Amino acid sequence: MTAPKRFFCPRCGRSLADHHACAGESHPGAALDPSRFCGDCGARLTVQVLPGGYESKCLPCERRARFATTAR
Amino acid sequence: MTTWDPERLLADAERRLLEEGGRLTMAEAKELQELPDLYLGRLADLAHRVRLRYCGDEVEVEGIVSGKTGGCPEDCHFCSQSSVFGTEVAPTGYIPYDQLLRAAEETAASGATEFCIVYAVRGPDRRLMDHVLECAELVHRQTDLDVACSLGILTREQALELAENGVHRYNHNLEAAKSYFPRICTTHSWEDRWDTCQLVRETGMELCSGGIIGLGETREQRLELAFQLAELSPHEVPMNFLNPRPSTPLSDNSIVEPEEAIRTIALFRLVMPSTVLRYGGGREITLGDLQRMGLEAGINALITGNYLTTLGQEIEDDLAMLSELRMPVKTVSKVL
Repeated sequence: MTAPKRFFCPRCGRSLADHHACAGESHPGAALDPSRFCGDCGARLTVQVLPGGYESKCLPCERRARFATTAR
Repeated sequence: MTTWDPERLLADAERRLLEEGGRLTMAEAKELQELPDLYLGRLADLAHRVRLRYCGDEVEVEGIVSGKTGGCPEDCHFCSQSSVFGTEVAPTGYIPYDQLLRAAEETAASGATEFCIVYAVRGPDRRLMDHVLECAELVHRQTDLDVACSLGILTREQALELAENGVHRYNHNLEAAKSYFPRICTTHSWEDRWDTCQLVRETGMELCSGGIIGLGETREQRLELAFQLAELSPHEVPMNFLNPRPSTPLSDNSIVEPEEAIRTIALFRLVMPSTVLRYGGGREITLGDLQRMGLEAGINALITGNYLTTLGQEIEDDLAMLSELRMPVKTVSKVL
């Protein structure tokens, strides 16, 4: 099964067509940031961080996703 | 002329804190703060023994959740939830009750005893008060967790209402020393924060107040913050280390060096021997694999799992770290 194709960087929201350096990856805490932009439309996601994961919502795409950050 | 004698400094501090039950003066703390790096291990060891003597070996574990994210009208320069800086954090409404309960249950499953609900606001209005009190009741009904909250600047009436409705601890960090605060926030004052902290104590809730290391303050200002916190006699002091957030005024700040973080932790413990000194945000990027050193330099509590808008070390890794250090997790002790 192939991963869904993305058009926008989930870290900075810029189009991947001209995405050379990611502003969302250059700061020290980048590895501990949830994805904040929709890979399909580039819109800023609303993100609810929870102790064991996070849930994000793209309003234009009307799509939600849930991610666990705990092994259990 | 007195000869500078690090051995004497450490011995005097040990006698004062461990034998006499006294407290350090600012002058003594400054001298300890300036000990060369080769004495850092001795300083940390003293702080660890002070922690064990005054607090025991248990570690208090807490989970936190954002009850309302982003859109804050204040301009705290370190905060990605401020609406002033145009950060990547999108504002949300109040957390739905089912999500809130899920967060509480994840926290309870880790063995934690505390659950803190934090709102990105200047202060609460009626709607927020109703939301947080409903959340507190829900958490109490479904778990054994103690509920803390952080709602910004309070009125006396609001503090009383929280205390009378099941909120056992209130967080309101001083964030920085009084002398440095105007450099990191202009929309409210350090005195505003101090006054809320005093109100919390007067209304019977436990006070949780700490700060952030790495905002650009001097070493002396870190000690100033420690002593100002000590004046409040807080039950808990969260120690956060700056995680420079993109688009905030402090986005280009350097990360605090791990040795400096350990030194600061040790000094906070020596200045406040009996407080719950909690690892807050930023420990992962500041200390990395040296996090366990902080637990042997004065820390006796931690926030486990994720934070308000960023991710943290996994809960399982935190519990494994405590197990390896042979530090038991504080358990719930509710009277039935």
